[in-house]
Amino acid sequence: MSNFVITQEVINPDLIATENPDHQSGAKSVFEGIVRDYNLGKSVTSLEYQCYEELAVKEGNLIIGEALSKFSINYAYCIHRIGLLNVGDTAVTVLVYAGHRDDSFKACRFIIDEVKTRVPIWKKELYVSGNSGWLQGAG
Amino acid sequence: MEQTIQISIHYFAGLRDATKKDLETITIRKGATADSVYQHLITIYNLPDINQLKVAINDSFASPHTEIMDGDKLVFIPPVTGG
Repeated sequence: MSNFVITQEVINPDLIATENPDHQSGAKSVFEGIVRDYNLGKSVTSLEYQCYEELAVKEGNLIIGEALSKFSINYAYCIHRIGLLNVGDTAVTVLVYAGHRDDSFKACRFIIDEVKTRVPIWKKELYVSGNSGWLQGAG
Repeated sequence: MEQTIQISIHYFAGLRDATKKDLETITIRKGATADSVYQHLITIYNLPDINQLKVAINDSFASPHTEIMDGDKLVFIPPVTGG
């Protein structure tokens, strides 16, 4: 089973309520990336995410594997939504379980930082003005 | 006579907008590298400089200097902006 998932569907908010998978984890860290209504001084109405899925899943799973090797954690999972998202929608969720909070936080941060710079996903902002544009580089 | 190969190129994000194509199949000379293919595309479309791009061949990251083989799938990857 892949622990890095690309979906066109709404990310299930119950995901973060998933039961502790192993009962050895005393810490659960969650990161959610949410569509906001402004960027670089422009009012944003929605975002379009595009993805090179074959490579994205491969690279995403590499990142999950690196997190499991680098930190003392028991479980890591990341799901990224693509397609047209509105302000307030969740674009990405990272979920980490660990014995203790320190590595749980660090691994969660590591995964989202690596996803933003390595996984071939791109976002186009659609503005209130009617214009739109692909963002340049991880923000 | 110069030998040629056929490859497919898949476009994403700004490159898809610039080419107005999701993908295309092109015929190029045997021995061409990924970056030489990109230089060829620049003569056709209004594309950004390759220094800002990564390359994937058959769904794996590759050096821009990699020789492209017949039937390869080539993707030029602009700076990513997920999350």
